[in-house]
Amino acid sequence: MATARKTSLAIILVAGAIVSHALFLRANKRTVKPLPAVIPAAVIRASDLGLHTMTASFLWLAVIQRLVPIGFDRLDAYIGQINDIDPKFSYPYAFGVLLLSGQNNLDAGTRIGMRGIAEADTDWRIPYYLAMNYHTATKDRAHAAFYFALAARTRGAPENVRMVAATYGSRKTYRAETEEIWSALLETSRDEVVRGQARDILTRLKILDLLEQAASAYKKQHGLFPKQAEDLISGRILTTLPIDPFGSHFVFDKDGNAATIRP
Amino acid sequence: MRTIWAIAANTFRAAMRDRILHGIAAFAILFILFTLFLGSISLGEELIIIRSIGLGGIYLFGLLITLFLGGSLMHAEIERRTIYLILAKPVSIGQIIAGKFFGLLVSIALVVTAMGTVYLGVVWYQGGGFDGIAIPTIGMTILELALFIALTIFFSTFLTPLGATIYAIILLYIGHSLSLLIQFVRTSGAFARTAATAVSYLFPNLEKFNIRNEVLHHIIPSSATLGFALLYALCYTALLLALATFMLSSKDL
Repeated sequence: MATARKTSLAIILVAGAIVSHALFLRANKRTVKPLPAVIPAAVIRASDLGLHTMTASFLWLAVIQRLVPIGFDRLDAYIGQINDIDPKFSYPYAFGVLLLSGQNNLDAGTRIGMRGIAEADTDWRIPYYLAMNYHTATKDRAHAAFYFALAARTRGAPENVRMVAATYGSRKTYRAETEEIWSALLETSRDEVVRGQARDILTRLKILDLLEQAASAYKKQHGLFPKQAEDLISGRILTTLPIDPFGSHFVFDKDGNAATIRP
Repeated sequence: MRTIWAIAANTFRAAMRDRILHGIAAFAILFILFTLFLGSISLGEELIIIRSIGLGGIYLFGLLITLFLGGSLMHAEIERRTIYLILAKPVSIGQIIAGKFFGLLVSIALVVTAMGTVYLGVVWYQGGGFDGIAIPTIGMTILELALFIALTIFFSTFLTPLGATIYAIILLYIGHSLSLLIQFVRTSGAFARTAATAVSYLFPNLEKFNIRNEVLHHIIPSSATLGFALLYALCYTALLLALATFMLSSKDL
Protein backbone atom coordinates (compact mmCIF):
# COMPACT_ATOMS: atom_id res chain seq x y z
CA MET A 1 0.00 0.00 0.00
CA ALA A 2 2.79 2.38 1.01
CA THR A 3 4.70 1.40 -2.15
CA ALA A 4 1.63 2.08 -4.32
CA ARG A 5 1.21 5.52 -2.69
CA LYS A 6 4.87 6.32 -3.26
CA THR A 7 4.66 5.17 -6.89
CA SER A 8 1.54 7.31 -7.48
CA LEU A 9 3.25 10.31 -5.91
CA ALA A 10 6.31 9.80 -8.10
CA ILE A 11 4.15 9.57 -11.24
CA ILE A 12 2.24 12.73 -10.26
CA LEU A 13 5.48 14.64 -9.65
CA VAL A 14 7.03 13.51 -12.96
CA ALA A 15 3.82 14.44 -14.81
CA GLY A 16 3.80 17.79 -13.02
CA ALA A 17 7.40 18.49 -14.08
CA ILE A 18 6.65 17.54 -17.71
CA VAL A 19 3.46 19.61 -17.89
CA SER A 20 5.03 22.69 -16.24
CA HIS A 21 8.00 22.44 -18.61
CA ALA A 22 5.69 22.24 -21.65
CA LEU A 23 3.70 25.25 -20.39
CA PHE A 24 6.93 27.15 -19.76
CA LEU A 25 8.14 26.49 -23.32
CA ARG A 26 4.82 27.67 -24.72
CA ALA A 27 4.93 30.86 -22.65
CA ASN A 28 8.61 31.45 -23.41
CA LYS A 29 8.06 31.26 -27.18
CA ARG A 30 6.10 34.50 -27.07
CA THR A 31 8.72 36.47 -25.16
CA VAL A 32 11.36 38.32 -27.14
CA LYS A 33 14.77 37.13 -26.08
CA PRO A 34 17.40 39.84 -25.76
CA LEU A 35 20.52 39.41 -27.81
CA PRO A 36 23.53 38.14 -25.85
CA ALA A 37 25.93 40.78 -24.61
CA VAL A 38 29.10 41.36 -26.58
CA ILE A 39 31.68 40.64 -23.90
CA PRO A 40 35.07 42.25 -24.64
CA ALA A 41 37.38 39.73 -26.27
CA ALA A 42 40.17 40.59 -23.81
CA VAL A 43 37.98 39.39 -20.92
CA ILE A 44 37.15 36.17 -22.74
CA ARG A 45 40.77 35.53 -23.68
CA ALA A 46 41.85 36.08 -20.07
CA SER A 47 39.37 33.53 -18.75
CA ASP A 48 39.24 30.75 -21.36
CA LEU A 49 42.39 28.93 -20.17
CA GLY A 50 44.10 29.59 -23.50
CA LEU A 51 41.36 27.77 -25.43
CA HIS A 52 40.90 30.69 -27.83
CA THR A 53 40.14 28.64 -30.95
CA MET A 54 37.58 26.54 -29.05
CA THR A 55 35.91 29.66 -27.60
CA ALA A 56 35.83 31.33 -31.01
CA SER A 57 34.31 28.16 -32.50
CA PHE A 58 31.54 28.08 -29.89
CA LEU A 59 30.82 31.78 -30.41
CA TRP A 60 30.69 31.20 -34.16
CA LEU A 61 28.14 28.42 -33.69
CA ALA A 62 26.13 30.66 -31.35
CA VAL A 63 26.14 33.53 -33.87
CA ILE A 64 25.05 31.47 -36.85
CA GLN A 65 22.51 29.39 -34.96
CA ARG A 66 20.92 32.11 -32.90
CA LEU A 67 21.57 35.39 -34.60
CA VAL A 68 21.16 34.54 -38.27
CA PRO A 69 17.63 33.09 -37.89
CA ILE A 70 16.39 36.03 -35.81
CA GLY A 71 18.03 38.85 -37.67
CA PHE A 72 21.40 40.43 -38.27
CA ASP A 73 21.33 43.05 -35.54
CA ARG A 74 24.83 43.80 -34.28
CA LEU A 75 26.29 41.11 -36.55
CA ASP A 76 29.41 43.24 -37.03
CA ALA A 77 29.95 43.39 -33.24
CA TYR A 78 29.63 39.62 -32.84
CA ILE A 79 31.86 38.89 -35.82
CA GLY A 80 34.38 41.41 -34.44
CA GLN A 81 34.31 39.60 -31.11
CA ILE A 82 35.13 36.26 -32.79
CA ASN A 83 37.89 37.92 -34.83
CA ASP A 84 39.43 39.43 -31.68
CA ILE A 85 39.42 36.10 -29.83
CA ASP A 86 40.84 34.08 -32.72
CA PRO A 87 42.17 36.47 -35.39
CA LYS A 88 43.19 33.58 -37.65
CA PHE A 89 39.74 31.96 -37.91
CA SER A 90 39.06 32.92 -41.51
CA TYR A 91 35.45 32.09 -42.33
CA PRO A 92 33.77 34.60 -39.95
CA TYR A 93 35.57 37.37 -41.85
CA ALA A 94 34.28 36.12 -45.20
CA PHE A 95 30.78 35.57 -43.80
CA GLY A 96 30.77 39.06 -42.28
CA VAL A 97 31.87 40.68 -45.57
CA LEU A 98 29.02 39.05 -47.48
CA LEU A 99 26.19 39.40 -45.00
CA LEU A 100 26.98 42.90 -43.76
CA SER A 101 26.98 44.28 -47.29
CA GLY A 102 23.59 42.59 -47.77
CA GLN A 103 22.44 44.56 -44.70
CA ASN A 104 23.61 47.84 -46.25
CA ASN A 105 26.49 47.93 -43.79
CA LEU A 106 29.13 47.98 -46.48
CA ASP A 107 31.76 49.89 -44.48
CA ALA A 108 31.72 47.36 -41.65
CA GLY A 109 31.88 44.49 -44.15
CA THR A 110 34.82 46.05 -45.97
CA ARG A 111 36.64 46.74 -42.69
CA ILE A 112 36.19 43.12 -41.59
CA GLY A 113 37.35 41.88 -44.99
CA MET A 114 40.51 44.01 -44.95
CA ARG A 115 41.34 42.77 -41.47
CA GLY A 116 40.72 39.20 -42.56
CA ILE A 117 43.14 39.50 -45.48
CA ALA A 118 45.80 40.87 -43.12
CA GLU A 119 45.34 38.56 -40.14
CA ALA A 120 43.39 35.39 -40.97
CA ASP A 121 44.56 32.07 -42.34
CA THR A 122 44.91 32.09 -46.12
CA ASP A 123 41.37 31.86 -47.46
CA TRP A 124 40.32 32.79 -51.00
CA ARG A 125 36.77 33.51 -49.84
CA ILE A 126 37.70 36.74 -48.04
CA PRO A 127 39.10 38.62 -51.09
CA TYR A 128 36.45 37.01 -53.34
CA TYR A 129 33.56 38.23 -51.19
CA LEU A 130 35.21 41.65 -50.89
CA ALA A 131 35.49 41.77 -54.68
CA MET A 132 31.78 40.87 -54.93
CA ASN A 133 30.96 43.79 -52.64
CA TYR A 134 32.96 46.20 -54.77
CA HIS A 135 31.37 44.84 -57.96
CA THR A 136 27.77 44.79 -56.66
CA ALA A 137 27.40 47.51 -54.04
CA THR A 138 29.79 50.28 -55.08
CA LYS A 139 30.33 49.27 -58.75
CA ASP A 140 34.03 49.92 -58.13
CA ARG A 141 35.38 47.66 -60.87
CA ALA A 142 39.02 48.50 -60.25
CA HIS A 143 38.92 47.27 -56.66
CA ALA A 144 36.73 44.36 -57.67
CA ALA A 145 39.28 43.24 -60.28
CA PHE A 146 42.10 43.61 -57.74
CA TYR A 147 40.42 41.41 -55.15
CA PHE A 148 39.23 38.84 -57.68
CA ALA A 149 42.84 38.51 -58.81
CA LEU A 150 43.97 38.18 -55.18
CA ALA A 151 41.37 35.47 -54.58
CA ALA A 152 42.49 33.61 -57.71
CA ARG A 153 46.11 33.66 -56.57
CA THR A 154 45.24 32.37 -53.08
CA ARG A 155 46.16 28.77 -52.35
CA GLY A 156 43.10 26.50 -52.60
CA ALA A 157 41.05 28.79 -54.84
CA PRO A 158 38.71 26.63 -56.96
CA GLU A 159 38.94 26.62 -60.77
CA ASN A 160 35.71 28.54 -61.35
CA VAL A 161 36.91 31.32 -59.02
CA ARG A 162 40.07 31.60 -61.10
CA MET A 163 37.89 31.71 -64.23
CA VAL A 164 35.88 34.59 -62.78
CA ALA A 165 39.08 36.51 -62.04
CA ALA A 166 40.54 35.77 -65.46
CA THR A 167 37.45 36.87 -67.39
CA TYR A 168 36.35 39.77 -65.17
CA GLY A 169 35.72 42.83 -67.27
CA SER A 170 35.44 40.88 -70.53
CA ARG A 171 31.71 40.00 -70.28
CA LYS A 172 29.31 42.02 -72.38
CA THR A 173 26.99 43.09 -69.61
CA TYR A 174 27.25 43.88 -65.95
CA ARG A 175 24.44 41.43 -65.25
CA ALA A 176 26.24 38.58 -67.05
CA GLU A 177 29.32 39.24 -64.92
CA THR A 178 27.24 39.32 -61.75
CA GLU A 179 25.61 36.03 -62.71
CA GLU A 180 28.99 34.41 -63.30
CA ILE A 181 30.33 35.66 -59.94
CA TRP A 182 27.35 34.36 -57.97
CA SER A 183 27.23 31.07 -59.90
CA ALA A 184 30.86 30.41 -58.95
CA LEU A 185 29.94 31.10 -55.34
CA LEU A 186 26.94 28.77 -55.46
CA GLU A 187 29.08 25.98 -56.88
CA THR A 188 31.93 26.34 -54.40
CA SER A 189 30.34 27.29 -51.09
CA ARG A 190 29.27 24.71 -48.50
CA ASP A 191 27.60 27.37 -46.37
CA GLU A 192 23.82 27.04 -46.62
CA VAL A 193 23.24 30.71 -45.74
CA VAL A 194 25.59 31.90 -48.49
CA ARG A 195 24.26 29.33 -50.99
CA GLY A 196 20.74 30.49 -50.19
CA GLN A 197 21.74 34.09 -50.86
CA ALA A 198 23.47 33.08 -54.12
CA ARG A 199 20.36 31.17 -55.27
CA ASP A 200 18.16 34.17 -54.46
CA ILE A 201 20.38 36.57 -56.36
CA LEU A 202 20.60 34.29 -59.38
CA THR A 203 16.81 33.92 -59.27
CA ARG A 204 16.48 37.71 -59.18
CA LEU A 205 18.83 38.07 -62.16
CA LYS A 206 16.79 35.53 -64.14
CA ILE A 207 13.60 37.41 -63.23
CA LEU A 208 15.14 40.67 -64.43
CA ASP A 209 16.07 39.01 -67.75
CA LEU A 210 12.53 37.64 -68.09
CA LEU A 211 10.97 41.01 -67.30
CA GLU A 212 13.16 42.78 -69.87
CA GLN A 213 12.09 40.27 -72.53
CA ALA A 214 8.49 40.86 -71.47
CA ALA A 215 9.06 44.63 -71.59
CA SER A 216 10.32 44.32 -75.21
CA ALA A 217 7.20 42.35 -76.09
CA TYR A 218 5.08 45.03 -74.31
CA LYS A 219 6.75 47.79 -76.34
CA LYS A 220 6.07 45.95 -79.62
CA GLN A 221 2.37 45.83 -78.71
CA HIS A 222 1.89 49.20 -77.01
CA GLY A 223 4.65 51.35 -78.49
CA LEU A 224 6.12 52.20 -75.06
CA PHE A 225 8.05 50.38 -72.42
CA PRO A 226 6.10 49.65 -69.22
CA LYS A 227 6.78 51.84 -66.18
CA GLN A 228 6.24 49.13 -63.61
CA ALA A 229 5.94 45.35 -63.62
CA GLU A 230 2.14 45.42 -63.06
CA ASP A 231 1.76 46.99 -66.50
CA LEU A 232 2.85 43.67 -68.00
CA ILE A 233 -0.22 42.03 -66.42
CA SER A 234 -2.65 44.70 -67.56
CA GLY A 235 -0.95 44.67 -70.97
CA ARG A 236 -1.53 40.88 -71.15
CA ILE A 237 2.12 40.04 -71.61
CA LEU A 238 2.35 38.04 -68.41
CA THR A 239 -0.39 36.32 -66.41
CA THR A 240 1.42 36.49 -63.08
CA LEU A 241 4.34 38.48 -61.80
CA PRO A 242 7.41 36.70 -60.51
CA ILE A 243 8.18 37.44 -56.86
CA ASP A 244 11.55 38.89 -55.95
CA PRO A 245 13.30 36.64 -53.38
CA PHE A 246 14.30 39.77 -51.42
CA GLY A 247 10.80 41.26 -51.43
CA SER A 248 11.63 44.23 -53.68
CA HIS A 249 9.40 45.61 -56.43
CA PHE A 250 10.34 45.65 -60.09
CA VAL A 251 10.43 48.84 -62.13
CA PHE A 252 11.57 49.78 -65.61
CA ASP A 253 13.54 52.74 -66.88
CA LYS A 254 12.73 54.53 -70.14
CA ASP A 255 14.89 52.08 -72.09
CA GLY A 256 13.06 49.04 -70.73
CA ASN A 257 15.83 47.96 -68.38
CA ALA A 258 14.43 46.24 -65.31
CA ALA A 259 15.60 47.11 -61.83
CA THR A 260 14.45 46.56 -58.25
CA ILE A 261 13.40 49.05 -55.61
CA ARG A 262 12.70 48.43 -51.95
CA PRO A 263 8.97 48.75 -51.05
CA MET B 1 62.86 1.93 -8.32
CA ARG B 2 60.95 -1.30 -7.71
CA THR B 3 59.21 0.33 -4.74
CA ILE B 4 58.17 3.32 -6.83
CA TRP B 5 56.98 0.96 -9.54
CA ALA B 6 54.92 -1.07 -7.05
CA ILE B 7 53.26 2.04 -5.60
CA ALA B 8 52.67 3.39 -9.11
CA ALA B 9 51.08 0.14 -10.24
CA ASN B 10 48.82 0.13 -7.20
CA THR B 11 47.83 3.77 -7.74
CA PHE B 12 47.16 3.04 -11.40
CA ARG B 13 44.92 0.08 -10.55
CA ALA B 14 43.01 2.15 -7.97
CA ALA B 15 42.56 5.02 -10.45
CA MET B 16 41.38 2.68 -13.21
CA ARG B 17 38.77 1.24 -10.86
CA ASP B 18 37.51 4.70 -9.89
CA ARG B 19 33.97 5.29 -11.14
CA ILE B 20 34.58 9.02 -11.39
CA LEU B 21 37.27 8.38 -13.98
CA HIS B 22 34.98 6.02 -15.91
CA GLY B 23 32.17 8.55 -15.87
CA ILE B 24 34.29 11.49 -16.98
CA ALA B 25 36.06 9.44 -19.67
CA ALA B 26 32.74 8.18 -21.05
CA PHE B 27 31.34 11.69 -21.10
CA ALA B 28 34.49 12.97 -22.76
CA ILE B 29 34.20 10.41 -25.55
CA LEU B 30 30.53 11.31 -26.05
CA PHE B 31 31.55 14.97 -26.20
CA ILE B 32 34.14 14.29 -28.88
CA LEU B 33 31.58 12.33 -30.90
CA PHE B 34 29.15 15.23 -30.39
CA THR B 35 31.56 17.50 -32.28
CA LEU B 36 30.36 15.73 -35.44
CA PHE B 37 26.95 17.30 -34.86
CA LEU B 38 28.49 20.69 -34.01
CA GLY B 39 30.48 20.53 -37.24
CA SER B 40 27.30 19.84 -39.21
CA ILE B 41 25.77 23.15 -38.05
CA SER B 42 28.85 25.27 -38.67
CA LEU B 43 28.00 26.35 -42.25
CA GLY B 44 30.74 24.37 -43.94
CA GLU B 45 33.49 24.76 -41.33
CA GLU B 46 33.21 21.21 -39.99
CA LEU B 47 36.90 20.39 -39.66
CA ILE B 48 37.82 23.60 -37.86
CA ILE B 49 34.97 23.17 -35.39
CA ILE B 50 35.68 19.47 -34.79
CA ARG B 51 39.40 20.03 -34.33
CA SER B 52 39.19 23.10 -32.12
CA ILE B 53 36.41 21.79 -29.89
CA GLY B 54 37.78 18.23 -29.92
CA LEU B 55 41.29 19.20 -28.82
CA GLY B 56 39.90 21.69 -26.31
CA GLY B 57 37.59 19.03 -24.93
CA ILE B 58 40.46 16.55 -24.48
CA TYR B 59 42.31 19.16 -22.44
CA LEU B 60 39.31 20.15 -20.30
CA PHE B 61 38.27 16.59 -19.50
CA GLY B 62 41.87 15.66 -18.74
CA LEU B 63 41.94 18.57 -16.29
CA LEU B 64 38.68 17.46 -14.73
CA ILE B 65 39.96 13.92 -14.16
CA THR B 66 43.19 15.30 -12.67
CA LEU B 67 41.29 17.57 -10.30
CA PHE B 68 39.00 14.80 -9.09
CA LEU B 69 41.65 12.12 -8.68
CA GLY B 70 44.67 14.20 -7.74
CA GLY B 71 43.00 16.49 -5.23
CA SER B 72 42.35 13.75 -2.71
CA LEU B 73 45.27 11.47 -3.52
CA MET B 74 47.50 12.07 -0.49
CA HIS B 75 44.77 13.36 1.78
CA ALA B 76 42.86 10.09 1.47
CA GLU B 77 45.96 8.07 2.41
CA ILE B 78 46.55 10.25 5.49
CA GLU B 79 42.91 10.30 6.62
CA ARG B 80 42.44 6.56 6.21
CA ARG B 81 45.86 6.04 7.87
CA THR B 82 46.85 3.66 5.07
CA ILE B 83 50.05 5.66 4.68
CA TYR B 84 51.31 4.22 7.97
CA LEU B 85 51.10 0.70 6.54
CA ILE B 86 53.32 1.80 3.67
CA LEU B 87 55.72 3.74 5.93
CA ALA B 88 56.06 0.70 8.20
CA LYS B 89 57.94 -0.90 5.34
CA PRO B 90 61.35 0.41 4.20
CA VAL B 91 59.73 3.00 1.94
CA SER B 92 60.55 6.69 2.00
CA ILE B 93 58.01 9.46 1.68
CA GLY B 94 59.69 10.54 -1.55
CA GLN B 95 59.15 7.10 -3.04
CA ILE B 96 55.48 7.21 -2.03
CA ILE B 97 55.02 10.62 -3.63
CA ALA B 98 56.86 9.55 -6.81
CA GLY B 99 54.89 6.32 -7.04
CA LYS B 100 51.58 8.11 -6.58
CA PHE B 101 52.58 10.65 -9.20
CA PHE B 102 53.60 8.11 -11.82
CA GLY B 103 50.57 5.92 -11.17
CA LEU B 104 48.18 8.80 -11.62
CA LEU B 105 50.12 10.16 -14.61
CA VAL B 106 49.96 6.85 -16.45
CA SER B 107 46.22 6.47 -15.80
CA ILE B 108 45.45 10.00 -16.96
CA ALA B 109 47.79 9.65 -19.95
CA LEU B 110 45.94 6.48 -20.90
CA VAL B 111 42.55 8.19 -20.74
CA VAL B 112 43.84 11.20 -22.69
CA THR B 113 45.29 8.84 -25.30
CA ALA B 114 41.93 7.07 -25.58
CA MET B 115 40.22 10.44 -26.06
CA GLY B 116 42.88 11.34 -28.62
CA THR B 117 42.23 8.14 -30.54
CA VAL B 118 38.50 8.86 -30.69
CA TYR B 119 39.31 12.40 -31.80
CA LEU B 120 41.56 11.15 -34.62
CA GLY B 121 38.80 8.78 -35.69
CA VAL B 122 36.25 11.60 -35.76
CA VAL B 123 38.53 13.86 -37.83
CA TRP B 124 39.25 11.01 -40.25
CA TYR B 125 35.53 10.22 -40.51
CA GLN B 126 34.79 13.86 -41.34
CA GLY B 127 37.26 13.72 -44.22
CA GLY B 128 40.21 15.41 -42.52
CA GLY B 129 42.50 12.41 -43.01
CA PHE B 130 45.03 11.54 -40.35
CA ASP B 131 45.48 14.60 -38.13
CA GLY B 132 49.11 13.90 -37.28
CA ILE B 133 49.77 17.33 -35.85
CA ALA B 134 47.27 16.58 -33.09
CA ILE B 135 49.69 14.02 -31.64
CA PRO B 136 52.30 16.51 -30.37
CA THR B 137 49.38 18.70 -29.24
CA ILE B 138 48.02 15.85 -27.14
CA GLY B 139 51.56 15.13 -25.96
CA MET B 140 51.88 18.70 -24.70
CA THR B 141 48.48 18.34 -23.02
CA ILE B 142 49.79 15.29 -21.15
CA LEU B 143 52.91 17.27 -20.14
CA GLU B 144 50.75 20.08 -18.78
CA LEU B 145 48.57 17.57 -16.94
CA ALA B 146 51.72 15.99 -15.47
CA LEU B 147 52.68 19.34 -14.00
CA PHE B 148 49.11 19.80 -12.83
CA ILE B 149 49.11 16.36 -11.17
CA ALA B 150 52.27 17.32 -9.29
CA LEU B 151 50.56 20.54 -8.24
CA THR B 152 47.47 18.78 -6.92
CA ILE B 153 49.62 16.19 -5.10
CA PHE B 154 51.57 19.05 -3.50
CA PHE B 155 48.38 20.77 -2.33
CA SER B 156 46.81 17.52 -1.17
CA THR B 157 49.70 16.94 1.28
CA PHE B 158 48.56 19.82 3.48
CA LEU B 159 45.03 20.79 2.36
CA THR B 160 41.68 19.10 2.30
CA PRO B 161 40.55 17.78 -1.10
CA LEU B 162 38.29 20.81 -1.58
CA GLY B 163 41.06 23.22 -0.64
CA ALA B 164 43.55 21.45 -2.91
CA THR B 165 41.09 21.60 -5.81
CA ILE B 166 40.34 25.30 -5.29
CA TYR B 167 44.00 26.27 -5.07
CA ALA B 168 44.83 24.14 -8.11
CA ILE B 169 42.08 25.85 -10.14
CA ILE B 170 43.33 29.28 -9.07
CA LEU B 171 46.86 28.39 -10.16
CA LEU B 172 45.47 26.97 -13.40
CA TYR B 173 43.95 30.36 -14.27
CA ILE B 174 47.06 32.21 -13.15
CA GLY B 175 49.21 29.84 -15.21
CA HIS B 176 47.25 30.63 -18.36
CA SER B 177 47.05 34.38 -17.73
CA LEU B 178 50.72 35.14 -17.10
CA SER B 179 51.48 36.15 -20.69
CA LEU B 180 48.48 38.50 -20.64
CA LEU B 181 49.79 39.99 -17.39
CA ILE B 182 53.19 40.66 -19.00
CA GLN B 183 51.46 42.31 -21.98
CA PHE B 184 49.28 44.38 -19.67
CA VAL B 185 52.20 45.84 -17.65
CA ARG B 186 54.34 46.56 -20.70
CA THR B 187 53.44 50.25 -20.55
CA SER B 188 53.50 50.45 -16.73
CA GLY B 189 56.33 51.52 -14.44
CA ALA B 190 59.50 49.56 -13.74
CA PHE B 191 58.23 48.21 -10.42
CA ALA B 192 55.06 46.78 -11.98
CA ARG B 193 57.04 45.24 -14.82
CA THR B 194 59.58 43.68 -12.43
CA ALA B 195 56.84 42.36 -10.16
CA ALA B 196 54.93 40.90 -13.11
CA THR B 197 58.10 39.26 -14.45
CA ALA B 198 58.86 37.78 -11.02
CA VAL B 199 55.31 36.42 -10.79
CA SER B 200 55.55 34.94 -14.28
CA TYR B 201 58.72 33.07 -13.28
CA LEU B 202 57.45 32.01 -9.88
CA PHE B 203 54.06 30.60 -10.85
CA PRO B 204 53.78 27.67 -13.26
CA ASN B 205 53.50 29.11 -16.75
CA LEU B 206 51.04 26.71 -18.37
CA GLU B 207 50.59 28.62 -21.64
CA LYS B 208 53.87 27.21 -22.95
CA PHE B 209 52.17 23.79 -23.26
CA ASN B 210 49.26 25.28 -25.19
CA ILE B 211 50.08 24.76 -28.86
CA ARG B 212 46.46 24.10 -29.82
CA ASN B 213 45.79 27.58 -31.21
CA GLU B 214 48.91 27.53 -33.40
CA VAL B 215 48.47 23.96 -34.62
CA LEU B 216 44.83 24.54 -35.58
CA HIS B 217 46.02 27.36 -37.83
CA HIS B 218 48.82 25.26 -39.35
CA ILE B 219 51.62 26.95 -37.41
CA ILE B 220 54.03 24.23 -36.33
CA PRO B 221 55.95 25.06 -33.12
CA SER B 222 59.71 24.68 -33.36
CA SER B 223 61.54 21.74 -31.78
CA ALA B 224 63.29 24.24 -29.51
CA THR B 225 59.93 25.48 -28.19
CA LEU B 226 58.77 21.95 -27.55
CA GLY B 227 62.11 20.94 -26.05
CA PHE B 228 62.21 23.84 -23.61
CA ALA B 229 58.58 23.22 -22.64
CA LEU B 230 59.50 19.60 -21.85
CA LEU B 231 62.50 20.70 -19.78
CA TYR B 232 60.33 23.21 -17.91
CA ALA B 233 57.72 20.52 -17.17
CA LEU B 234 60.39 18.13 -15.88
CA CYS B 235 62.00 20.74 -13.63
CA TYR B 236 58.79 22.22 -12.26
CA THR B 237 57.20 18.81 -11.71
CA ALA B 238 60.29 17.56 -9.88
CA LEU B 239 60.27 20.73 -7.76
CA LEU B 240 56.61 20.28 -6.82
CA LEU B 241 57.13 16.62 -5.94
CA ALA B 242 60.15 17.57 -3.83
CA LEU B 243 58.06 20.21 -2.05
CA ALA B 244 55.29 17.66 -1.52
CA THR B 245 57.84 15.26 -0.02
CA PHE B 246 59.08 18.02 2.28
CA MET B 247 55.54 18.96 3.36
CA LEU B 248 54.63 15.35 4.11
CA SER B 249 57.91 14.69 5.92
CA SER B 250 57.39 17.68 8.18
CA LYS B 251 53.85 16.52 9.01
CA ASP B 252 53.37 14.85 12.35
CA LEU B 253 52.19 11.50 10.94
